[in-house]
Amino acid sequence: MPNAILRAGPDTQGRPVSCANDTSSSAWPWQYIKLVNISKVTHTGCEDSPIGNIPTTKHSDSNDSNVETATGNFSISRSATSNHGTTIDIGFEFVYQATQSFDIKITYNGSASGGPDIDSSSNIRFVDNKAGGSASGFPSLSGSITRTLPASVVPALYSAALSVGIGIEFPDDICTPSSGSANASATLGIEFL
Amino acid sequence: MAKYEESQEVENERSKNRQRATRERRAEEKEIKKQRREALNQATSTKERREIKRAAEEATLSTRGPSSAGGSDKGGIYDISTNNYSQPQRNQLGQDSSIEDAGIDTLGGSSAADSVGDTNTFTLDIVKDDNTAGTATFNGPGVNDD
Repeated sequence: MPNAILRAGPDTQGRPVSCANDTSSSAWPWQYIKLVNISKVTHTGCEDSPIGNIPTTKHSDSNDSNVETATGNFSISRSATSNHGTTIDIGFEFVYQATQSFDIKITYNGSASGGPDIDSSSNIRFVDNKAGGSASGFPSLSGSITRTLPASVVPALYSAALSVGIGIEFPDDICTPSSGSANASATLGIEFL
Repeated sequence: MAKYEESQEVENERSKNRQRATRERRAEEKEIKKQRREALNQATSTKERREIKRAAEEATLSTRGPSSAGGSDKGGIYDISTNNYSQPQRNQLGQDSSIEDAGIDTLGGSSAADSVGDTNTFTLDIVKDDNTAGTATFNGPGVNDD
């Protein structure tokens, strides 16, 4: 029978420390950091250059990193679209202490669509901070992975992320904004087993 | 018979005086204990807490008169070989004496971690042995300097 351990934290990076997989405590809420980054590239037309007309683009990025409180299983879902390129990065990380190991199940689901011509660099990738914890594919990627997180007297980190990126080629008439679309969607969930 | 009644009357008066003195002493000790608790709550260092406890104990002893300060023969040791009757020294209160000077610790004595007699409690979060969140309550002065 393991011994009880004193709560530590926040950790050296200021992250809250959660109690194993116990999301039921109001006195010690189970917290994680939610990461959401969405990047869109919009084709706006063209401009003159010494080599002739070149396409012009507009970039927009939104980056969010928030501490959230979970009261059970949770998931993160985002979707975005543009006429040239779209990338969604979602993820979470949490720091925990535990007197004994516990299991979590991570489920990921990413998909991309668009056209008329999809750029070859488009990709979907899942990764976590454990050995062997990566998978990639296109235009869709889905799966799940079960992790056994070991007991830890000091704060220990687990993180997982899913990235969905899709780009489409510029149209033949590069001076006319593309009428194409680059659509991406991503869902990442955690289940406490 | 009259002599007995007179003697009984005197004894009754003495008894009343003893009871009154006891009540007064208890009231003084209660007040000292209250002041000790308040002072400990405001203390910021181990040294300060130690001084407060020492002062409180001395004040308490003074309310009890010489018998509690080691001045009477109560609790003394009779040495049959020398036919002497000696009074033991008071217990050590400080921490800087050699081990040869050390006596039995007194309640509420020199150690900052000594929780006996303290009414302060503090609670810390813990991960219980079943991985659930819980708390543990401790007695004592709380956070020490070192």
